[in-house]
Amino acid sequence: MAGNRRMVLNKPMNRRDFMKLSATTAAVLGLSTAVVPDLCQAFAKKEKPAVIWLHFQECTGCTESLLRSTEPDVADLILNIISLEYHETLFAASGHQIEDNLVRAMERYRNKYVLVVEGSIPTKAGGNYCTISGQTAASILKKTATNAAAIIAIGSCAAWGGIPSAGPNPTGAQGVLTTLNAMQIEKPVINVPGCPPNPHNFLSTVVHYLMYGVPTLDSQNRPKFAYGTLIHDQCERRAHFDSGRFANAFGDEGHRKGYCLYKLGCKGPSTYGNCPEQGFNAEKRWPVSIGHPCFGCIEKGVGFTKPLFEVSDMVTTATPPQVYPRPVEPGNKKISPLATGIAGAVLGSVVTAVATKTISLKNSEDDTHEDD
Amino acid sequence: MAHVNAKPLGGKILTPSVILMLFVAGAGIYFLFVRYIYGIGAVSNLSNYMPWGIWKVINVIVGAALVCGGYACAFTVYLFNQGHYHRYVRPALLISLLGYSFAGFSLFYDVGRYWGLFNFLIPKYWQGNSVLFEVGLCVMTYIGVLSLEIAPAIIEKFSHVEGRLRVVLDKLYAFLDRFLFLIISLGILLPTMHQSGLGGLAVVMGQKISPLWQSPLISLHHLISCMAMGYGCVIVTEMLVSHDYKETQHMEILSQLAKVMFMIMFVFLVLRMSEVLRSGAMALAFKGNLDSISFWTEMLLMVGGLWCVRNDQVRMKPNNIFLGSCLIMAAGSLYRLNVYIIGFHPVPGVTYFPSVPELSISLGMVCLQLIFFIMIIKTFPIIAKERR
Repeated sequence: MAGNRRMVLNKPMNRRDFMKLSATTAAVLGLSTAVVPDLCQAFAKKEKPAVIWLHFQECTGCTESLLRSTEPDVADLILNIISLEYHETLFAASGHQIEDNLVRAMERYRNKYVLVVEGSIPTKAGGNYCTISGQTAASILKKTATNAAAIIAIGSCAAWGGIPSAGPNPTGAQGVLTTLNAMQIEKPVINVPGCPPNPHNFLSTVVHYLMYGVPTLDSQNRPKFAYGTLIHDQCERRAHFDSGRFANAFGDEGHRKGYCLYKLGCKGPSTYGNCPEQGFNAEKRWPVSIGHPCFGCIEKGVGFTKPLFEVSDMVTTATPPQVYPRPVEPGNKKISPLATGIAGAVLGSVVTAVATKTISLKNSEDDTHEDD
Repeated sequence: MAHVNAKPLGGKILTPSVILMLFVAGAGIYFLFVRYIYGIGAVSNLSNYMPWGIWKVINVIVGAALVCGGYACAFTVYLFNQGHYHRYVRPALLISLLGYSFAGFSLFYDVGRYWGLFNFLIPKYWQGNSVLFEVGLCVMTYIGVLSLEIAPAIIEKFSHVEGRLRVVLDKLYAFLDRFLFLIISLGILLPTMHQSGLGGLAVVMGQKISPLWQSPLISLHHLISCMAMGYGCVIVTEMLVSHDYKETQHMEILSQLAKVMFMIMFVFLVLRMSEVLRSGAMALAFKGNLDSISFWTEMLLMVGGLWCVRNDQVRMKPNNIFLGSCLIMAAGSLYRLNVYIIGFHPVPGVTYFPSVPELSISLGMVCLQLIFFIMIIKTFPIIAKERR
């Protein structure tokens, strides 16, 4: 909340918060604390990098979740680290005033600004399903992307289409990368998918871009530091999967005991992301940790495409067998009477030896005293 | 170390008790061959759910804790500069060296794919986040450090050697004498690391360990109890192998060691009980099952041991500190047995009791260790002799 108040009052950040922000960012990026001074320096730059933020076919969920993130507070990002030039949700201005600002910012920061796109771009009916100030989403994108230094597509909608592209996709919605490819605009595009994506992943991507340039990306242009590993491989319930302990229905014994949600349709085995590690809502919580299967919102062809409770494909792990070996056979070999006998004999002889020695010590002690 | 007047005890090695132990060791070695030919499954009751049986828990974990005498002594003598305990350092170091070497050797029959163990010496295969790796590396390094710490005793044995070997030995002796402080500081650091690391292993086992033993402080519990056990071991060894304890002056030193042991074990008891009470696991202690019986046995042994060495007056009697040390060693051992076997419930319904071959191997290795110890103190200058 402190961040929000600061956002309203536009007070500068204090040193403590500033260091905290730098350190947390380094942690999210998986960098060592040695880079914190570098980050501080980058954050403290006089001229803040300009950001233009576009909204197309979306629910503003990405912006909302970003605004509610804490530690690091994204309001700090917007007010202290970057210079936000255009953002429909956050700007007090509206109408011609804000559109003028967009044009001015594009001129002023030509080939220097970072373009953030939230929402998918409709292609059917000439793109008329999404128009802002009389222009279609595609034409706004074309105009802004041509002069951008880099483009970050935030959320699944911008990354690959998301909800608007779900079948039968009436608007012909598609992601930023596909649209730009069709327009033959070649700019670095970083996808940060998720519905919404973890704000930390977005922030870290921005900071990484500002400091070291475009982060290492995977085949779908997602930063590898956040989307490099299968959710299944980092899941806190993985041990249950490996041992064949599954929840078979919501509310059954296995579900209440926190077993693996694979059979309830968890898409963790086919979705890449760091949700188990990062968590959401400053609580390190994510769907699986509160008992709901992952539905693969990050992954194209999984989220909003596969039925919610359909069993996931296995990307790297083998499909689990129907039957698991139960611990009856190997665990409970019969206790052999001879073994108990030996154990008892050993214990008995140790006790006897200790007792004998103690008694003999006591006797010799008494003898010495008698001698005195 | 040079100023300790240590001498070999001498005497016959093959006494009746040693011959008996040789038979037990022989049985163990026979089953060891069976284990290497037919595999672990053929000789043990271990399973995927209980991969740590008595080999690991008694021979490695309890063994390494019991032989912490070297650690405890080095701590007292060098860290707190209590030179008058110096006479115990060598026997304690010998026990530690033997104990740790056998603990290390135990891994070779306890680990299924023992041929892969060597990978752990290759830095490119290191996995720095592994608790087991930390414990393994520390234990291995510590065995090396202990051998260096005990080396002066071996060199003294060869004092009559002449010629070029003499020069080499003298140089080595001088080197060790000069850098012993470095070796000793490692000898204090490494056990601190791996004994608490063993507790770290228990932490990562999470809910598999009964709440009566599982705790965020379990590393500290392991560390503190092993020190008390180490002191206990030093006292018991001294009273078993040396006859000097009847002298009042010597008894005073032993009773001071017992006092340190008492204080450490008391801290352990307080920490243990406060954790059990804090976590609300106390109810489990009244369930009347094996867990609760074992818990109370552990507590009784601990309190009994503490009672035997409760004040200076009581501590002056050799029978009291002997019994007290034995009980405290037993309490610490049972604590480890409880953490890793009795209170360890990986999956409901799994029980474990060692098989005959498994027990034979464990016992055989313990006997072999004792035989080595007896042989070494009779031939090398380990035990200090008072000048009368």
